[in-house]
Amino acid sequence: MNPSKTDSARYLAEFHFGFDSDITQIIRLVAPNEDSESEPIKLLEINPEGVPCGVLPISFGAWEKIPYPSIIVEVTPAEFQQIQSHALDLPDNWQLGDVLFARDNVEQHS
Amino acid sequence: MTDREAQWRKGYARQALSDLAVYKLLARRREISACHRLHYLQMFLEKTAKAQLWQSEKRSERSDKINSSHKFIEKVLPQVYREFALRRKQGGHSKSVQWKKIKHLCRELDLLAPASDRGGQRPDNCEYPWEIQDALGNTRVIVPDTYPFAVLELLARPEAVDFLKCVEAILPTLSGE
Repeated sequence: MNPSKTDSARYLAEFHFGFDSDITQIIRLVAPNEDSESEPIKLLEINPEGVPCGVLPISFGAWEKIPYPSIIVEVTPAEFQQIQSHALDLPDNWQLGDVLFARDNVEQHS
Repeated sequence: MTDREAQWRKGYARQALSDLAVYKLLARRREISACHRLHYLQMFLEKTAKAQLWQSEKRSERSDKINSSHKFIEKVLPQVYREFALRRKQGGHSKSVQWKKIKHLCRELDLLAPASDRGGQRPDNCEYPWEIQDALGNTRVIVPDTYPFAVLELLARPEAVDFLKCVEAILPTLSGE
């Protein structure tokens, strides 16, 4: 039986969070049709050491352990603030969802 | 993915494969100046990064500027390598340290392109001469042909070899072969 999308998202985020100690938060991005199996898992990763490039979705296919396609959007803290203030748009009506992981000293979005 | 997007993805991936072939040829010919193989290496990696971006089914305003922009090697390819590490179940501290080195390598490879000079702070590139000025105000023109690129030492390290193999491995899928 396939893992749930939520469990898969958490698994993916946990790996990324442990792999890159520069990431301060990983937030789930949710689409209007998020419950659809074909809708990719989407993670917003806030990284002060990231390259400031705006919103640049990078896609990966499904595989055995994570049977859903995934999309990673890495942004700097300044770009994250722009997303929160809608100065920078997310595509396809994506919204900020749950914070999956955050470093202890980081103020989380509400 | 639209047909147009698929065509761009395949186009970039196929040209990246061609650039890679020339890079490998030049890498075997050490009598030829390193600036040339670095040029083809930078082109191969940038085109691979762009092919990966064209694969994204979810576009954004920034994605639409893929063709005309640069500096995607550091933005995209370390994440490709991270995905490989995930699928090979290679986590842990040592892999994290390796990944930081790879990000640094990718940053340096992005800087090989003349358009990526970090506001003039890094004029060194593998294609065109550039001018430097010493503390006394004397200027000198530096030529890529004889410049000792520090990135060559980074490329000799094991993590760089692993990284390039990983990037090469995704090209058949991206090119639709």
